[in-house]
Amino acid sequence: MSQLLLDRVADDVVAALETGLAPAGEHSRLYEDLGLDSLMLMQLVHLLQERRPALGELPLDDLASHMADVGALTALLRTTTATATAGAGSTAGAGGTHPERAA
Amino acid sequence: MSTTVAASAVLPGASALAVLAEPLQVTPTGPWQRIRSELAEQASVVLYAHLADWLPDWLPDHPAPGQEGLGQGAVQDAELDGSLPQLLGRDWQRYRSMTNQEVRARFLASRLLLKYAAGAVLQARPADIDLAYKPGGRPYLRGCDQVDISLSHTADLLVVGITRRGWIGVDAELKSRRLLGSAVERQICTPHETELISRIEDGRRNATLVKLWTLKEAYSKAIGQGLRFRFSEFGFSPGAGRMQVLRPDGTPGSGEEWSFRTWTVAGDYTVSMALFDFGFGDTADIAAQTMLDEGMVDALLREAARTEPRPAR
Repeated sequence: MSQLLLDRVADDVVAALETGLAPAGEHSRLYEDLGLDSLMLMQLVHLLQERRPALGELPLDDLASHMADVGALTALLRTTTATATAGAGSTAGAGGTHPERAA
Repeated sequence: MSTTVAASAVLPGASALAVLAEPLQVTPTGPWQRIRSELAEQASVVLYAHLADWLPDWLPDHPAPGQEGLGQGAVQDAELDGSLPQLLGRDWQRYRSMTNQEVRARFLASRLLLKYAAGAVLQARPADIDLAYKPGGRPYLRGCDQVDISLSHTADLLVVGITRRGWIGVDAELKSRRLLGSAVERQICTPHETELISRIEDGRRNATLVKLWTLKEAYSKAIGQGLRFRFSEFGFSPGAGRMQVLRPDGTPGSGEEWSFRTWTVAGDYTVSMALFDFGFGDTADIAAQTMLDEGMVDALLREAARTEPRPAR
């Protein structure tokens, strides 16, 4: 995994978090380790889209189900970027939700 | 699921609007009897609690005076000397893996609250409440489909909704949580809501947004759809006398079967509830013993008979 891309995604996660916590690495989990809640999740998605306009509109549902940790989120963005660049313009995966959102 | 419920236990189908009482504060000592009564009379109940009241510090070594309805067994279950894994059940491993202490504390306290509340209304031991999750993450009481539950927690507040009439969703948020002017504001509002909010005086706009957010969260939890519906694709009219789901243009999108309420709880929190009434009346007798699924019981008995050692011929 590209360290540069990972670092940039980690920066976005920090910006979205209201806790001030920084991911310890790619295995830092967004909810269990960093405390990302539903509102922070929406803020994060906004940041990801704003800073990567080539991605287009990211489906929140797809993203939430694939962003268990920073590494998984980074991998998803890399895949999505490649797909968008190729012109397919959509993310893959089944629906899901923030781990505590549906609770 | 089939149940053995006396015909007299099926109450007349009163409007779901009638069941929305004020949220009840609950601590480990109750008031469980009152909660049972409210659920019996009104079919739904919303409970709230302070985080500190449900962290392990409160756990008594011995049953304390006023443990109304909990009973010796439930209190003993709550002791931490090895029984926490049993209490948390399938949540235990996830709880253990959490490294964020605030998340961990809220996760534990909210599950304890939910299990004690469900145990009280189902007249079962908290450790016997099987809290499970549907694929989208929606919690439910396995084996007790006639009772629907919802859970929310934020900062120092825990909220649980319980209904025996249909689906329930609850959500809580700090009134002071800043949404106005944030990216979230643009993501959660329909054009109609944006127009409504623009007409509200500045000092009340953020509180209105928080109310909208909790209503949408509660609704999405009740329907179990997670994030499949964008929050900008359905709305509410926060000042309306009777709250209902609206289409993005502000026209009605739901009927009488849905009820919504929002309260200020513990001074600092906005709590919203969404309730869907199946319209089948309700089941007054929800004791776990009554509600055991007959099919499941039959299957278990058959399996037990199949695996039972047989005498050699």
